[in-house]
Amino acid sequence: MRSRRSWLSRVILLELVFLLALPWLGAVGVGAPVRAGDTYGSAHCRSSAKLCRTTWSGDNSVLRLRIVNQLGSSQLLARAQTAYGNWNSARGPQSFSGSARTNDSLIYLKRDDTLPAPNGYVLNCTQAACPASMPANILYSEVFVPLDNLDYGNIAISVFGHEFGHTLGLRHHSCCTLMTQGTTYTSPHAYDIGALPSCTTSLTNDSSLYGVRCIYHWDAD
Amino acid sequence: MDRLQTQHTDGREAIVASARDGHGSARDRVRSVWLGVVAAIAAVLLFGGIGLAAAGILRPSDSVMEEIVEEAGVRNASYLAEFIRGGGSIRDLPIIEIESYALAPASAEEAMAAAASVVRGTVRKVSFASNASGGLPIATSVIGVTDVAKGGMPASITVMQVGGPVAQPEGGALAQLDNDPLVAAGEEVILLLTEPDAMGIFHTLPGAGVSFIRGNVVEATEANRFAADVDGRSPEAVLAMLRTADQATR
Repeated sequence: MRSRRSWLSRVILLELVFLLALPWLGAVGVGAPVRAGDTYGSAHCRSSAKLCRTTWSGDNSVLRLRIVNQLGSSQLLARAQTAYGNWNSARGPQSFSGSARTNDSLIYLKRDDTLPAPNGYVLNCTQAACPASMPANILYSEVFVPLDNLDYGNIAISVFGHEFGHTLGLRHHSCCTLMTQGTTYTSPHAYDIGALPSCTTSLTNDSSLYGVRCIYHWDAD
Repeated sequence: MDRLQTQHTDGREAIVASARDGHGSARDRVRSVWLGVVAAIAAVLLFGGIGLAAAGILRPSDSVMEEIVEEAGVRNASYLAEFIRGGGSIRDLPIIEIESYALAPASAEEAMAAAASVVRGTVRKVSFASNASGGLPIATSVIGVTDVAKGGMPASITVMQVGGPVAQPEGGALAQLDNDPLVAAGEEVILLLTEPDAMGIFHTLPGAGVSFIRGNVVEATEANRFAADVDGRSPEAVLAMLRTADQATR
């Protein structure tokens, strides 16, 4: 009995040491998977596949994004909710919500009425700068839209959907996707999501566009 | 079967005997094992959490995030104030292009149909102000009009654009929308403008609103989808082309 107990306590001790050391090993990059906070030299997250936001746990893990409403318009908020609901219905790692979840990544929705409608823009920010010159580890994003977007019907949803794509790290696509400037799409296109397995092909003529699956190395669906 | 039952009974008797021999110490041992397990779980939660935060997996708390966002706004405002005080030129700053939604017109005809007025002019003055929304700064330019291709225009107009100097870890940068480059004082430009707002202030047409004139040659911006019709031509030729395009849309 005694030897079994001492064996058990050794296993518990070893497990403890391992559990305590794991995050620190990850922090210094020892055998750690790709993970939030990693940088890829000076590469932009959009041009070098994978990783745009700091609170992402690594390959095949869900990216939780929380919408913080500062729009001051319930009608605009409703359009934003439709837009992020459409992103949630699409495949990929993105999971938007209006409620707080553990370790989610914040997206502030704000109004900029100086912007002629229909329009919108995103500032992707790090702790050091907003906007950041080369967002590779986005800590938070700010989406700005004018109230007058409401005069353009479903385009108000398209603008939010498009800007949410930028918060994920997607850049413009020349044709026919949610990430095309002036898009009338309200949901992500297959090009916006990207190939499966991730990063195997850009699906499009633009070899630098691999979709959100590639940015976050999402092969889970 | 009988043998197994005997062994089992023997084992239980042995445990009971052992417990009876050292009643207090056995209970202490059980207690200390449980205490150890509880302490271990607490340690994992505490140090593991710190470790995860250090690894960047956990983000700062909501209240800290609020401070970070607020500090960014304060930094940008103070950098802008310093830039204005110092009389700096936006052309000396590195550019951060902010991708925006608005689509540029596909052709000169489409642009002329969308533009309320088209002018050639010189930028007399540009002033920047922080944006009350917390977004990009606001650039307000006074343009001395020298020629008009569309619309009845006064000798001087005011044009508003979104963008301006923002703070960066080392110095600052010029943040501007990818389809609406900012104009700077002293520059000669051709502007395609939307209807003025209630204050009489014009806005540039996204994607085709600004073309620069350098050495009597017009340079379209990257976002301009009919740049081939504009680039490298004289201002007079470009204005004539735009007038023709305008006629074609009527």
